[in-house]
Amino acid sequence: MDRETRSHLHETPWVVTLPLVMLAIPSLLIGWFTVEPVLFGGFFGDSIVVDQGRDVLARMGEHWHGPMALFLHAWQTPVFWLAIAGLVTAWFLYLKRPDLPAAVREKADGLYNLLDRKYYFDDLYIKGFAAWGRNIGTFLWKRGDQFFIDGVLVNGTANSVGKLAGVMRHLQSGYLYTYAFAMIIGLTMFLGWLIWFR
Amino acid sequence: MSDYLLSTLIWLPIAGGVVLLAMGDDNDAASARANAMRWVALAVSVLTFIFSIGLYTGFDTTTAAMQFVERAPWVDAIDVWYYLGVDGLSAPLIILTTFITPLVVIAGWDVIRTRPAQYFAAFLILEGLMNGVFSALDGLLFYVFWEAMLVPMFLIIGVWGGARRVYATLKFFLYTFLGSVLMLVAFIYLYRVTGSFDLFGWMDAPLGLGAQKLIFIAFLLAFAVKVPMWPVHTWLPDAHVEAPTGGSVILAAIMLKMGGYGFVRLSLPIVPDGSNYFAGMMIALSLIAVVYIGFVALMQKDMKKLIAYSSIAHMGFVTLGFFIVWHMAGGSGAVLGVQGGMVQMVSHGLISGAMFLCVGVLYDRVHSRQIADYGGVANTMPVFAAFMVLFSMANAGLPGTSGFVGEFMVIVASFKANPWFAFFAATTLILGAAYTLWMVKRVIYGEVANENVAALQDLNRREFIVLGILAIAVLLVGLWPAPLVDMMNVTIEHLVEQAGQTKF
Amino acid sequence: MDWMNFITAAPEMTLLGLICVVLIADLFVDNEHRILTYWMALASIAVTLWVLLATAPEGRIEVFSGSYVSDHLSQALKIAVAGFVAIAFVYARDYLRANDLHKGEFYLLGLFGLLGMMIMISANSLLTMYLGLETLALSQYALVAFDRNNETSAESAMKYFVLGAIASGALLYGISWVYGVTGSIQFDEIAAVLASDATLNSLPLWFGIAFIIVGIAFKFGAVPFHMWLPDVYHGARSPVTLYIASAPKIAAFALTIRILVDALGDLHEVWSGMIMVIAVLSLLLGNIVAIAQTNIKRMLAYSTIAHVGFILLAIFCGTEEGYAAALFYTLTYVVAAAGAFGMVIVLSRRGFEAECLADFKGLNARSPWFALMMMFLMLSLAGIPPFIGFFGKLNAISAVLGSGYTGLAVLMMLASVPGLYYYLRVVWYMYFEEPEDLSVLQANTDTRLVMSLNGVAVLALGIVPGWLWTLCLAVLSG
Repeated sequence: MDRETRSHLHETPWVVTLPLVMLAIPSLLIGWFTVEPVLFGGFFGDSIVVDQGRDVLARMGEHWHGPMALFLHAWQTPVFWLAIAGLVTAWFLYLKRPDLPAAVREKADGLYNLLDRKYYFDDLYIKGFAAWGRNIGTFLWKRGDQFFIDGVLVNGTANSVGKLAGVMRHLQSGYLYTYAFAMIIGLTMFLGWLIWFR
Repeated sequence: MSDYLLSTLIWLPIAGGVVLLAMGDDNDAASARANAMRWVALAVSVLTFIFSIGLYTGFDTTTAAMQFVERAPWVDAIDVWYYLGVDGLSAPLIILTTFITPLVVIAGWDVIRTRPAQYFAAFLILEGLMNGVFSALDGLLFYVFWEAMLVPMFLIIGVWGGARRVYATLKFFLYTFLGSVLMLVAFIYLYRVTGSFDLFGWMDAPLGLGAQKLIFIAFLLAFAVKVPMWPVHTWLPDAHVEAPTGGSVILAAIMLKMGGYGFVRLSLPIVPDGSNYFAGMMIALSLIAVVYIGFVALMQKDMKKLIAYSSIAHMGFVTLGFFIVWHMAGGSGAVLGVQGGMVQMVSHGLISGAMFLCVGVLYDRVHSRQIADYGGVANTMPVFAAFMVLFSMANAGLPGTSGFVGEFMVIVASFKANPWFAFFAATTLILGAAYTLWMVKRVIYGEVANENVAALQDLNRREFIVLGILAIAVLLVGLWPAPLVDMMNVTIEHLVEQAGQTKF
Repeated sequence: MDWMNFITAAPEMTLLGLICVVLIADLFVDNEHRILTYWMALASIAVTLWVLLATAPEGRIEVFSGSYVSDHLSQALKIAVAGFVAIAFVYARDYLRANDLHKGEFYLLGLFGLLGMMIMISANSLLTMYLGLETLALSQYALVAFDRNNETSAESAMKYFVLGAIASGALLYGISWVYGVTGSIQFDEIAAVLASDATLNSLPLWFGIAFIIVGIAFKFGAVPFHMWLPDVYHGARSPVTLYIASAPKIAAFALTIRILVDALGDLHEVWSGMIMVIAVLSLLLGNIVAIAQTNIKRMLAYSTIAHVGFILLAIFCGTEEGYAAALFYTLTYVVAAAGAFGMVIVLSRRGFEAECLADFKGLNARSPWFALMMMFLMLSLAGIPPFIGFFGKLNAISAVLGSGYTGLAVLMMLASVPGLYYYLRVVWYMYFEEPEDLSVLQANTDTRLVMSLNGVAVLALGIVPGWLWTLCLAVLSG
């Protein structure tokens, strides 16, 4: 790294270092003392109630032989060696041969991207679900609410009534003969109804 | 005094409003007379609130019967009585009304420049009429208060509102009126069947299923528009956006609750079989409201519209809680559902009121409600940002705030009815968080977006008081809902019993 | 000499006598002192009312060989019409003075119209009814044409006259058919004849009824006999419109009740169908076309047609409750209508008729009190509680539902929604718009006082509506 960045690196002040030390050392040791009481002892008392047939930890407890046995057994498990392998690989790639990571990345481009982009889950969320949600939102808003419910149903009925009013008002033509004629028609309808339907 | 407590709660604010109108208006908003008017308005509203505390302290939580009852003949010729009373359903809502009104008065203090006397008078008269709706136990009295209440709100939106206020307020009045007219026909039908307008007479009257279905539909139209339920909800975004801040707060906090109140006071007890018959439809509409409206809220660019849509989604919970009653195998789930709906109503009143006030604070400064015009407000208004984030979290349903309690109860109850109901209802947790937090992120956090934001002043004392009181209320109901729930418990049990019986 | 005749008909006789006195006195009064005629006219109405109350008999009496009846209904309605005519005079006075129209003939024609209305209300025979109707109608034609120099007034008067003549002719023709079939023109005798002889219930009688309904519908302004209404309301000067819109509606109600119920009550199945059709058409047409109007007098005219639809639907029910509801609705409607037209008068001044909706813009800024009054009146007409108009609608719908017509009740309520829109439009203009005309209102104290009382009345009546409803039930059953 360049000098500028290097100049930003400095040791932490004691306010930070001291707590780190106070946390680090006990964290190495605390497991030894607490594993048995917490997991297989009665530490939690009645706070946690487990159903009789489903007591997994009790089954595990049948094979418990104390923290020393756990410590010694760990060396025989593949999990432990896998973790060590990770340590070694990291030392190798970034301390011993820092040129290698770039080469690996060039060769295994797709795999690198897959892992770098967290199996594309972020893209699924952002470009998938979120964008899909936004699109649905826009569709429901513009087409559903604005166009259909507001436009067609609400404003549509209101405007239709207004237009109907604008049309119907022309019935009032202003001409006297229209008015008289309307009355005659009304009268004729009455008489017609009386003759044919009564 | 307790004999006439309800009448006081109704007529004191109305009298105060009339006094304000008589004091005359002064367009010089800074004059001494205008100032005196504001103090009168505040005094009346605070006094009303203090009286309403008497409703809480004097309330008997062990009975479902009506309390603080007042009964006197009004229009004897058609057997209409001035019949008031409250129970566990109405008392919390009345207290909510009298609690919110002083806050609205303070919020409008020097923001309203034109005709302040009429503004405050309108709110006081509106408060009295809303208290009337919640206390009325005579059908016609209920209807009178229900319709009369529209007039002050019509004026509030139309006179002091935004650019499209005339369209919004006409839509509001005509839409709500259209819904209510059929309710009047149903009332008159019930009057002719039972011989009186007494709600309890109607609850006891036997009604055939066909009649019940029609009456339920008539009631539904009135209440669905008020709540508002999907698909008759489109008046709300317009009304909220165009109303002045105080108007939006009252509209969201109280007037929407009338719809929910109508369902539990009228639909469920009077036409239980009709409600049962249509319960499936109501649940479907509620869930559509929650999901559909949640998506629509996501894409809003106007903050007030976003909160308006979020109100509709929250009210979907309320109606969901009320109508899952008949889908339960056992009884306890039903009570929980209705309780959840009621708590949600109170909580939503506080939260959405607070959110509108927050948007109002921003609008008073920058005169824009568009999210795009903001960014990084937390840098210049940290105290305000804290409040806004609190209320947004409450809106999203964060446990510890009142928003969580109601939602949780309704989701648990709906799970007991049908896991799919709970599934769709719970999407509100996702969508609510999505739209609220996205808005918060774009408005409050980030870099200071433009010079308007850079010039922002933080909350002044008046705004701080209002938001502070609401924050305390939201947290109080969220952390300790017991007093509220206790008030409602016995009444809701009785209601569920009434809703479960068959009347034909 | 049967003194009973004269005592019972004393109100009308007094009024006629006083009209003659005023007529002669007016000849000797010059223009500056025309106010004397005004006071004399008001005094005449007051005296007539006093005579009415003093000579009112107990129960029902028929005099003049059964042509004239005095019962509770007639007393109540006469008080109402006299009151509204007096109110119309008060509203008119300063408007007429400001517009150089202050002639004694206005008051005289108004009083003649009142006389006609009183005769209609007390009519017990078809011809007496016709007599009263024509007296009223001819007075109205002249009133509409009162402003000689105004072309619109002259045109409206002409239309009114011609159409009125057709309607009167139809009415008279119908009367002649009914007389021909039943052999009597007296209402109670007709009812008795029809009750005793069922064979009379046949086509000739029905034709007569149809013609009579034409006359009734014209008087009310029901579709399709409504076409005179918008033009006449618009063309007449505002005080005349106020006069025509208020008291004669009550007289039209009396006309309908006396003929259709008292005389032809048994033939309810015959006339109810016709009434229902014109009522529904009126309701729909009135409410819809009013939306398109920009002139407030025309808008109120169309709204009148819609209200008439309500009244006729209440009558259509055929029950006593229905008739009482119709009366209640008519009375409360007239109170609000008088106020609405009164507001137009208040806003008008010399040379300027405040008849456009735009003239109401920003009224809240100019005069908050009158804006409030107008809002009360508009909301009452729309049927919003707590105003009295709501109770009118409530009773009408209750009567309709009580008779089993649920669909009609639903229609009545749904039709009120467009109605609400155009009433709210006025409120919108007053409150939400800025005033275009900032001049101070020039109406004088009297007019303002009556206008204020009118506005407060619709609210006050809405808060205590019971007494009026009980009164309506009582007068129609007794």
